[in-house]
Amino acid sequence: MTRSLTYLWLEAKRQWRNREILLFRLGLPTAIYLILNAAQGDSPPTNPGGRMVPIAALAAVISGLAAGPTLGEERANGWLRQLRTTPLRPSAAVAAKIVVAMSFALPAIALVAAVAGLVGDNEGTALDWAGWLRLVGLMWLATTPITAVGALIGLTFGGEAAQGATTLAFVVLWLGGGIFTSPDNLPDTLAAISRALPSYGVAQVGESVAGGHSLPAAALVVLAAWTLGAGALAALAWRRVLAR
Amino acid sequence: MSIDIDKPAPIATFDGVTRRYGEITAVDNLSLGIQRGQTVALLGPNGAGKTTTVELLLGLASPDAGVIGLFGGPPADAVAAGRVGAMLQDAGLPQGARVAELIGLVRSLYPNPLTLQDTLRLTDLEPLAQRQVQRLSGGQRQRVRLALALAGNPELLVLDEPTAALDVDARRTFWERVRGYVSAGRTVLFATHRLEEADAVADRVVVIAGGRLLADGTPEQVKAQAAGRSTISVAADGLSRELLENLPAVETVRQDRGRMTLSTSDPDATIRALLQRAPHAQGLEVTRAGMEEAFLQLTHQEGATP
Repeated sequence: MTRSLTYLWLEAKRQWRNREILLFRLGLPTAIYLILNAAQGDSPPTNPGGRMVPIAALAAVISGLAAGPTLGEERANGWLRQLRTTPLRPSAAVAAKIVVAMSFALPAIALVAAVAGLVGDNEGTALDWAGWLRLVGLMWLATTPITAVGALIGLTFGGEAAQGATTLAFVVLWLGGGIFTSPDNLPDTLAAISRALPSYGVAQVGESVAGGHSLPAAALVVLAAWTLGAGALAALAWRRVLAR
Repeated sequence: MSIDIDKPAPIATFDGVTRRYGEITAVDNLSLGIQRGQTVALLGPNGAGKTTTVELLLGLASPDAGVIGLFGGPPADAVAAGRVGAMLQDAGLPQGARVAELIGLVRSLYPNPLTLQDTLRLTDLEPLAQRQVQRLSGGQRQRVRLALALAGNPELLVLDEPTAALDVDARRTFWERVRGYVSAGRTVLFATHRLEEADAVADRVVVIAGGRLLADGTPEQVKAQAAGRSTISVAADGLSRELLENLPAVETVRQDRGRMTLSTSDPDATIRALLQRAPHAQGLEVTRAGMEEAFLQLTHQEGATP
């Protein structure tokens, strides 16, 4: 356990001191929020989460998928094999990538929420402190299935391919997953797909908290199914990696 | 050839081990024992099965047939117990990590590690301890990878082509560092395709090609086996390839601009038979094979057969 934590600490330091990573995972969503807010400032949002929740969900997608490229690169360059010649439990390496991805998702979501709270056009929300904390906390927990997708990508594709697959997943989850546009604006089939994506679940969780509603059961089922499904597939991919 | 070793049970054993990748048999019925305290060179040309042998020993690959033992159990147990340190071929390092952090990680994983200072000193990395790995040169990275193999103070050190990317000077310094680390009780297995490296560093040389064991002994024994080889060149006029191939001790026959070149492990016997069966043969030249050439013959002869 101590060994796994030592590795986790190194992995966290390694990623957190990388300025490009910080800029992409923390800076980009906040910047997009500010741009949208400035561009559409004269037409206040009508949905409960306003512009904040979709962009916070975008932040969750960006950070959540982070395990993909890192795992892919370190599988391709042999670092994970090198670790397997040490007493570190092999799965500790994969677990650390997921935990570090989650460690970016929390501040990334919180930053969007904080900026929206400060400069946003009221965002249609009337949350107290506890409400803001619940919004950020629950959206963060809802990011879990996206980290499982990231791990699955990193364990299935190596190197450049993992980078490409992550970008593809990002585009699908962003454009198709109810962040870019509500499924209500899509044709039926696409809308059904959109509602079945985990990013839609993250946005739904945020919207329901912002609107003061209870968590929507359908979104929770989607999130749980993705966590279990992608998690199980990632575990299978990992066993294949080990059995080479 | 094999040497009889009157020593306690080996710490690493291969017993009839075979590993295939699709159509290719990377390791073919290999049996081998490595004793504590030995420095063993695993010598063979590229594609001989050296890396697969190393991976099998470390538990990174599992055999299709046969059994591998490491410190009396399966390799994975010995690795988990921190008894092995390894330097894999071309293994990368995680971007953004500092040299001292990586060494610190490895130290924390092993039960009885070297101190950070000793690890840095052994590998000449003291001035680079705080540098991030992506800012290191190729040679410096190589030293970091050696440091990671040594930092856990393992009983068995496994190095796969550790000097492949280094020039002559850097190779010499590399082996000086390894020698500085190896003392009584520590065992080293390293893979190399350089005979002179095996000769200079190892006290036992295991030659493999095509996944099979070709020779096993002290560097002197292996060199003697390789050095017994010669080439005979003869004018091709009136000589059939078949006749030459069937001469005793002949291993390969090459035709080149009106001459035939034979490699043989017993030039006397080959020439005697040649002059008996083809009394008109002319222009005979006999050359004792140089060390490198002899080694190549030794390995190619087996490695080339499908």
